[in-house]
Amino acid sequence: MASEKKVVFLRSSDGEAFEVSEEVISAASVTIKGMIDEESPSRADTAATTTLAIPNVTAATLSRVLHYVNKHFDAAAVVGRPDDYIFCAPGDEHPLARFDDDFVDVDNDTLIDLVHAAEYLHIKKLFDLTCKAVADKLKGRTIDQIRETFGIVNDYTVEEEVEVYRENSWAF
Amino acid sequence: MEKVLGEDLVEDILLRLPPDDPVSLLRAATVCRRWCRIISAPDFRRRFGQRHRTAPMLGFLANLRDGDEDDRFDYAARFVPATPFLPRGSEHRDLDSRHGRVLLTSMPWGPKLEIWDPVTDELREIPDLTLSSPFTWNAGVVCADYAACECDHLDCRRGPFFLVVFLDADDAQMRVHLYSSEDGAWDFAVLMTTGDGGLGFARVEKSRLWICSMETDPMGDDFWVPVRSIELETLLSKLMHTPL
Repeated sequence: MASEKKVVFLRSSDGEAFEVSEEVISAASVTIKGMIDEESPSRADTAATTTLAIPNVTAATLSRVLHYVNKHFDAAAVVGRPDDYIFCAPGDEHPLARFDDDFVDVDNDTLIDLVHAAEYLHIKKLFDLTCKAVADKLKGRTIDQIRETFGIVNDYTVEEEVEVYRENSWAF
Repeated sequence: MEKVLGEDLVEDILLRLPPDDPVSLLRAATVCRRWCRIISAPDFRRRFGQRHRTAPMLGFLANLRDGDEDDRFDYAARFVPATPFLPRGSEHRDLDSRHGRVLLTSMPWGPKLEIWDPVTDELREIPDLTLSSPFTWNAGVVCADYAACECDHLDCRRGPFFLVVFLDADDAQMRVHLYSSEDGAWDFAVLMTTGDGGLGFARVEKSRLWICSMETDPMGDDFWVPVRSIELETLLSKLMHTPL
């Protein structure tokens, strides 16, 4: 077993580089694993460290993503079985359940940046977590509040809206 | 905040709305045309069903007296909600419900049947079936793919269905009436005992007589197996040419 851990650098869209264990990020992100695999033949004979450009993700978001990845995918850091936390019943306090709750307890802009980053980097668990968090934000909000939250312009006519309210009076 | 969500992402997010809160789904559809289009797509309903495998109980149907004390048969299907979802009730009595469809009847005075979708409130009248006795029958509704078992019934509410009406019309024979929404017509079969004493039925399809017998598979499910079919035209022509 190799004593030294391979690392890669990820360069955000605004030029900041982040160091991460190659093993951890490969386990987490399908996209980055693909990039590393592509680079591999040329890296084998050099000692140079690889820097991968992540053009779609800003430094602020990338640092959050890496915080999540290190928590969830670094076998040394994870307590218990990392893949089981999703199935924990409420009340089963898994260390990562609390971490996840706090992780998505952010403002809408940050959360949506995380959804985009998780999608681009193809980190399924993070994508599930952040999409669910956005869906949770929709719950219990009025239609106007949802429009405001997501910057959506109402393109229904007044007549159409009245018709929808009339047909589904139970929901409004 | 003005972060724009792409169409795919909106769908991924809306798929994670809680299934036991139909209000949030309806409200989301009312946000704008794009969201409504996403939620209304058949593919979305299918994915939503697959993601939230165990369907929540939105409520149940109960046949309750409508208030007329003198009318012993004055029952009507009333929806008792378990969530805010509240479809309109029906004037008629609930006879059966399965795979998202409710079979209503004006029983007992002749089987005037209707298929109702409580979610969309669509009502479909079934052509009259003439029975020799208005009392001794019962009926059920199933998805048309029930026998082939290829449908997971997550989103087949709008698809074709079968109605099965059992009827023991008289002492001589028991008939099974079948209605297929695809054909839009009634068909019938006669229940009988087979040679080995088991339950069987015979039905005529075009000019072919099918004899089916009930078998039980290792899982304990009963199903009908066609054991014999007779081409009546061939049989008749043979009979005609056979010297007496």
